Amino acid sequence: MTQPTKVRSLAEAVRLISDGDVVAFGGHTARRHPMAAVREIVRQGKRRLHVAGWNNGIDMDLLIGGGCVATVETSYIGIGSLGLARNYRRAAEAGAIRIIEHSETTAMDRFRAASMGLPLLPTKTGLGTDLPRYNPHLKPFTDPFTGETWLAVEAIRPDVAIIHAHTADEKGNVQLDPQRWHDNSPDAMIARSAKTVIVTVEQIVSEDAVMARPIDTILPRSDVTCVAEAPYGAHPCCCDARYDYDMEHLRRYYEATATVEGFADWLAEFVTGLEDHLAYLDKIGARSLMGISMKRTVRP
Amino acid sequence: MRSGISKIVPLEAALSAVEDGMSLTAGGFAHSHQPMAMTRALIRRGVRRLTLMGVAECWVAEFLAAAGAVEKAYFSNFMFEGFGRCRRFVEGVETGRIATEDHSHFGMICRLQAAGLGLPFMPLRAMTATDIVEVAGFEDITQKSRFIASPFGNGRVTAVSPLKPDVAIIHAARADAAGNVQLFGATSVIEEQARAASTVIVSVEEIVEADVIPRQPELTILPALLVDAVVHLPFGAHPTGVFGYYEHDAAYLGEYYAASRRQDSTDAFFRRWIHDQADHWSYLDALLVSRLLALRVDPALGTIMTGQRHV
Amino acid sequence: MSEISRDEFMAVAAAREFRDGDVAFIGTGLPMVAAYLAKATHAPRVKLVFESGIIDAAPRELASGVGDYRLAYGSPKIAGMSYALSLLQGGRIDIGFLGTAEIDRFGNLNSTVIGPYRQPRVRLPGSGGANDIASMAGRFVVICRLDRRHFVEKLSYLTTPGFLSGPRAREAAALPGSGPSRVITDLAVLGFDPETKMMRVEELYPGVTLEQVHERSGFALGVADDIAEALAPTDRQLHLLRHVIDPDGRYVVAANV
Repeated sequence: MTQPTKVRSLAEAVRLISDGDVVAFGGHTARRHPMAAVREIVRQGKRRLHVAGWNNGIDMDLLIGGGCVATVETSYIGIGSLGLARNYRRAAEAGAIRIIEHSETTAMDRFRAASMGLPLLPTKTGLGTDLPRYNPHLKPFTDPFTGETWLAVEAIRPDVAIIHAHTADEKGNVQLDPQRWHDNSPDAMIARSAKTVIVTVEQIVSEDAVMARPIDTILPRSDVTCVAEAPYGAHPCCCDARYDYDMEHLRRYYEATATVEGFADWLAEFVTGLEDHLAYLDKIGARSLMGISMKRTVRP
Repeated sequence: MRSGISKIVPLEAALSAVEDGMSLTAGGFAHSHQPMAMTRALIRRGVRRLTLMGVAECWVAEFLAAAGAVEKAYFSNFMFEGFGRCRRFVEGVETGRIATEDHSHFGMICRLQAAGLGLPFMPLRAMTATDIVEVAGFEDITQKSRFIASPFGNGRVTAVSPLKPDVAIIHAARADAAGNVQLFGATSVIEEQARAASTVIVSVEEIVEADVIPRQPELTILPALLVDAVVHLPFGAHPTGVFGYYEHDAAYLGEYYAASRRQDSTDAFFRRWIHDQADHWSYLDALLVSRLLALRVDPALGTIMTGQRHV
Repeated sequence: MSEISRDEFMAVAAAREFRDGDVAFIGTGLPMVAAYLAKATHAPRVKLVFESGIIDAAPRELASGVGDYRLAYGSPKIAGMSYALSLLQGGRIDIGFLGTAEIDRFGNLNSTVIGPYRQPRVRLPGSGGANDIASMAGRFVVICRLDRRHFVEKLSYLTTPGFLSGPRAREAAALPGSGPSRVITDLAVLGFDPETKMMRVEELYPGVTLEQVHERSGFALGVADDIAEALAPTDRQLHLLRHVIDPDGRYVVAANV
């Protein structure tokens, strides 16, 4: 019996998000954030989202500037070496968004606990800081065995998780390339914590391709709701060995966010004024995309 | 990098090696890995009076013929698989603008091999007793081939003289700055062309770090010692394909094929896609990045995957 | 049972030319269909070699050309054109299949020019691997339509050697292969008289008369002593052609127009 396909268009996938949902985003430090999905969320005019991640930047800053966000929950939002996330700063200082503060490990632990089916995980991170004061999901407790004080990190169960990966087959098995940077388990934890899991991938591939290297499957199809093909779907963030940061574009973004009007123009030019992700790529242009591309061959 | 000098140069600098009146050979065959970006740049520059020493690089030959850049052609076969004849090349021949010297595939390969190996001739069995060796084109028939007796008394065989192209233009998969070049899949006549030609210019999809190619040295089709210049041209074979990267653009090939019915529609096609484009990047943007990405092949199947993959 | 088309007769006749275990040099179109059919029926151990350098291909689908990347799937060896073509010269190829623009009574072929070479009326694609295959394969089979455009008294240009000028001509030219064994057309299957090396009718498709065949040829055809009716495609062969190998009818049109 053939399995039905889990492939959807990006627009269809994003339509699964409802206003007010808790939406978790994969990636960190301008690496492999699901930017194509982020832009589609803005285009579809989603509202009052509670966005959660563990280290974020242009992804959440863009959503905030796009008017999509009511609550932000992560350890960091900034534009890396370029500077501050100014949509985030303006919204925070105006009291337009609620902020739930974390360290990287407490943010990650919310997803980690949920992905393990646990109600909480203990940590020492955050003790003695202001974090537990401003974060209702961090509560001190006493270890029943040693009597030590620990911080309990509450599991988070997002309505939707969105991560960006390298490949997936039609059944929804998601893989990363053999060449990849750093640890990738947070993205899997984020996916496993959520009720609905959207994965955007650089390329939908054949079952043969997935079966050729099963060890590279980071999410089996049972953990995935739908997959959508979005080549350069992390742009302008980097994507492991495939493509580098688009610093020129990030710089343009950063400069545009200096003012509300500047950002509005940028949003119209790169997000709302474009029909879809492919139109965005056409606009970014071949020179930039090929300039940041490091590995385009499908051969290992 | 061992030599300390990079062979990577901009496109225009690499093509300065191709002068009017030179002999040219190009890599690739059928709808695969032909150096089309380099060909377009040569056409834009207005290259003239070329002598092609080709085997089956039909798209390069057709485009250069359509641009009026070809004077003579040594070759085996120019035809568009799945479409039909190379109309502008054929028109050039039928109107006497392009002079021809025919060969079989293996005959052309042997002539290039002779040149590459520094031999006075190469013996082969093919072409014997046919009009390929008995009817002269522009070449003195006695200087092209002879039917000779083996000096060892063990039979007779055709001997062909060498053909040494001034320049080989080749499109491949990847290269490093030193100039080592790799190509996946079927490799046409690139090895023989690179050995034979005086100057070898290679455009590639990707430039890789120095440690990559030595990890799979058996995939290296041209070591740096055979390469004079490397140009980084992603999608540089478009509208032909590159194995392991992208398929040929069948829709674009069809559009050209239709336009090639007449010289005026061909000229219009070239105006739009060659002369009105400042460089390779503007060509790619005129095609649209999304169109190029739709040509990507599946890692396992080697071709565009049919079935569900819409964006 | 539905009608069987001429294309289907041709495909089946061509498939019959493969012997199991043959190493076959083939191009696209009908030869590829015939090869797939042979491998799926009586000759599973046939090895396919393509001039592109793809050796012993085992593709899942019909390819659109010898350069089609589909052919690379499952192939244990992929090289350059010289590798494939030199296998011919080394005597490693048992059978080749060729199409043609013109053919004469000795099975010589023309794919170069119509008219004088230096001022052709029509410039054709050129030899490609055809001359190589005909010169050096163990034997070769020609596939083309039977009409006066193809079957000519004298070729404009002799691109590809059949029996050249007649008996012993191939030997004098030291050509290693034995030459053309069969010509498969849309009306009849032709072969060559072993003595005279001239083309003769060997099998007629059902409903086709010798008169029709002679009338279509630009030169006089001999007739084999044991001339017979061509074997009809079996149900299995038709099923494979229509539903497995060429379901879109790209090279084998299923119904007579």
